Amino acid sequence: MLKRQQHIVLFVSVTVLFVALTAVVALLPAHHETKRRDVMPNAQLTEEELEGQQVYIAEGCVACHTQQVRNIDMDMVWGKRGSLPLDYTNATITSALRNPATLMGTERTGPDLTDIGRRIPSEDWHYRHLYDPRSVVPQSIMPSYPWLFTSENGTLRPTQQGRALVAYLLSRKQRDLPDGIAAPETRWKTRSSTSREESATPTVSGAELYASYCASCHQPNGAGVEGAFPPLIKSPIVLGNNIDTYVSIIMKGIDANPSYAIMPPVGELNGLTAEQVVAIMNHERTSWGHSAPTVSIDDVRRALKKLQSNQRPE
Amino acid sequence: MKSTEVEVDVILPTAQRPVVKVEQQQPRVSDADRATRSALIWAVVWLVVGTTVGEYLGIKFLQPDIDTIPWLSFGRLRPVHTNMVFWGWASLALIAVAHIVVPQQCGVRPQSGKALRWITGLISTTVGVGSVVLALGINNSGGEYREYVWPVMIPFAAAILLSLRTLWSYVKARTTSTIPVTAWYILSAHIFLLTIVTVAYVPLWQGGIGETIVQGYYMHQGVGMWFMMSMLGIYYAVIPQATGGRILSQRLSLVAFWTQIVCYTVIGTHHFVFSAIPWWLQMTALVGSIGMIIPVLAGTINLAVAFRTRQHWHPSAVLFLLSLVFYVTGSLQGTLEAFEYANLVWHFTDYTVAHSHLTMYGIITVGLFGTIVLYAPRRWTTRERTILTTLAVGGLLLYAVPLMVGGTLRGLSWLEGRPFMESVTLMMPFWTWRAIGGTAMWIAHIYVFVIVLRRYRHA
Ligand code: HEC
Ligand code: HEC
Repeated sequence: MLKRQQHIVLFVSVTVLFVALTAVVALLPAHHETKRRDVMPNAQLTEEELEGQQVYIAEGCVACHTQQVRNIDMDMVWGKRGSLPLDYTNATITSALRNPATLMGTERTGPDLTDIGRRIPSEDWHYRHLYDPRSVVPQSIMPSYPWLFTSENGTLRPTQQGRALVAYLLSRKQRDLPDGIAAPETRWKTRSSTSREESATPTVSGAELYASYCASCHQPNGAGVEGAFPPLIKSPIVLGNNIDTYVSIIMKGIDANPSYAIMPPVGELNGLTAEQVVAIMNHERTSWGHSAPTVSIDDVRRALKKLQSNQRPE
Repeated sequence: MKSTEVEVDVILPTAQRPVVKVEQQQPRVSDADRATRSALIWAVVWLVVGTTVGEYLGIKFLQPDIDTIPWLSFGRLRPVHTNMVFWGWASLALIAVAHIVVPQQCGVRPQSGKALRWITGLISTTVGVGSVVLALGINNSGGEYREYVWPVMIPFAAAILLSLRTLWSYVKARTTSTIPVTAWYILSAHIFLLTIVTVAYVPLWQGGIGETIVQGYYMHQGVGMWFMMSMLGIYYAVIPQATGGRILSQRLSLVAFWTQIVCYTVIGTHHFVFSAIPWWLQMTALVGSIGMIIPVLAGTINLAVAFRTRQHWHPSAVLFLLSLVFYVTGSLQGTLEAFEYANLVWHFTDYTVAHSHLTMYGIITVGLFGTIVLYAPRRWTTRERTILTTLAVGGLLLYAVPLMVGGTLRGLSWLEGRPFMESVTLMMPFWTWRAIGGTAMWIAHIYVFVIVLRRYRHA
């Protein structure tokens, strides 16, 4: 008799064990996180940004892009700190069809986008990049998204979806943690660890800084992109002696020439220090065949002070 | 659709009687056999379509502007590929084979193929509709293998339930004194899959980072507790048949079975090491990943003995042996990837893509090819089998090894803090090799399709 019922005993035990383990490692912790009440301040997405997030989901950008900064040293190029559960409290149900989306991702075929709104804060750049990634990053393998644009009397304009997507991308800025919450400890000090621990200052290699903060628009070779981002090669500002203007452009951006896009306040957004600014400037003044005299840190400090006291140069 | 020789019709209660000897018999083709064949044909159709999509995706890494059609764009097409080969090919084929081996091991003869026909239809509906819906840009927010929206998954869940019910009836009617190992694994796998899918789609625990915890659980259990468990169950039936050997011991099977459930279930979060997921969960996953060595070795030793004690060597045996080798190496590789330093280098790179192909393809697909060869209505010639093995396994290695090398280099480049674009351009030769290996695999699938179609149609 018992022998005939063996299979019931077996499969019921299997089920009970599996469900119990499932509860411990998935259901209970996940439920706990779902029930959290605290939210990240200033992180609520606007209606347009939410619409853009839907485009991001529909196009499957998550196949190639993560949105998570791991609490390890090598990831600190994607944000200032490791991501916390608090960064994802926004992920709630938005439609009857879909689960909430943290969009953390599992592949980094392309860069992490946690902080892209700060790293590349220019709408124009994103429109160009989405329309044809290779127009701004020649070696890119990212797909182009021409269907997010329409042509109106010969000029290209983003559709509502395209605009929403870029609004969403620009909203991707790693938020400052509210008081009382500590950033996770950064583990695995690997990247340039020695130089960091010794000097305890952020990197000051002009070439690296240029690659991180300027090259996306002005291009690694300084040649710019026609009709969007001016070349820095032979630029009178780069080579000239008006340090105040040069520093102001880096910190506050510029929109002087209608045939180019707007340069956003790259320096302020990324909190560049005087040491970093002078390193970038001197890199530009001595690269690409340039041989202008280098700038001193004191000149840059002075220029920064002027900027702060709101006496904009000229 | 009539054939002269059918092996699936033969009852092998203790799995010792070699199939090769039975081949001379000419039993009639039952309705259940016909249903099995049409299920397998459909599965192979999804394999061919799904890997055609995969091949195209691989080419897109080299030629990103090959088309600018929205529904063919990379982000939309990638889940079409993964879901089609997961659910349309691997799941349907595993179920079809399960409906051969479970009744066979239980010593019962299924008469009707009605349930399996329904299962084939339901799964194909999910995959067909799901692919169109994904291409239209409607998905379940991008958690991997969970991209089909829930209404699309309903026929699939119904199919699994139906399959479980049918297999249950075979186990219940068994003429063997004990429940065969094959049945432990396969029926448990069905129960697990139903649980996993429910957990994955019920919204009660999906808020905030809960979504990621569930995602880690889901993607790992899908692989380990459905595909792998089903395959292990099939191994216990087919390897002794293909070799005439015996497994080492029933006790070892027990150890492998229960430790698999305990260790595997807690591993999920190792897909999110260093992420915002609670640290204790990441640590549990690490411990589980190490513990996983126990079931893997126990199962492998058990089955390896069946090869050592072989009486004969059916053409399918080599495919099972390769599949088993991928099982050990792929699983140990998985354990390795869970360690922090390894994770530092490999996470987010194409190394993971290589790993998932070494496992899902090397273990599951190669093993399923073995069963297709073993249970073919007419025997595969050695030449046919060699062509298939060379293309499929050779292609897989050409695909995976370069991606492992490239993935490692890419991870190291990130660790050194080099500019990101360097890590894109350095992948180019490896992505090229991936496309070449992928092409060989793809040709293998067309080949299987042609043979299967011809064999099963043979009057
Ligand atoms: C096939 C993989 C792939 C897909 C799909 C993809 N990208 Fe990319 N993406 C890349 C690669 C590679 C780069 C780096 C090269 C470049 O900047 O174009 C990149 C770069 C980017 C960048 C610039 C990041 C930086 O720090 O320079 C943004 C923004 C971006 N992608 C947004 C998107 C959006 C939005 C989508 C979906 C509509 C998307 N990507 C889809 C591969 C992809
Ligand atoms: C998001 C794109 C973008 C980024 C990033 C960017 N720039 Fe610019 N930059 C521009 C645009 C657009 C202009 C032209 C604006 C105008 O004149 O209307 C410009 C102008 C300039 C000019 C003036 C060139 C001239 O000859 O008039 C300098 C100098 C400059 N940028 C330096 C930098 C430096 C240094 C960095 C890095 C810290 C940087 N830019 C980052 C877009 C960018």
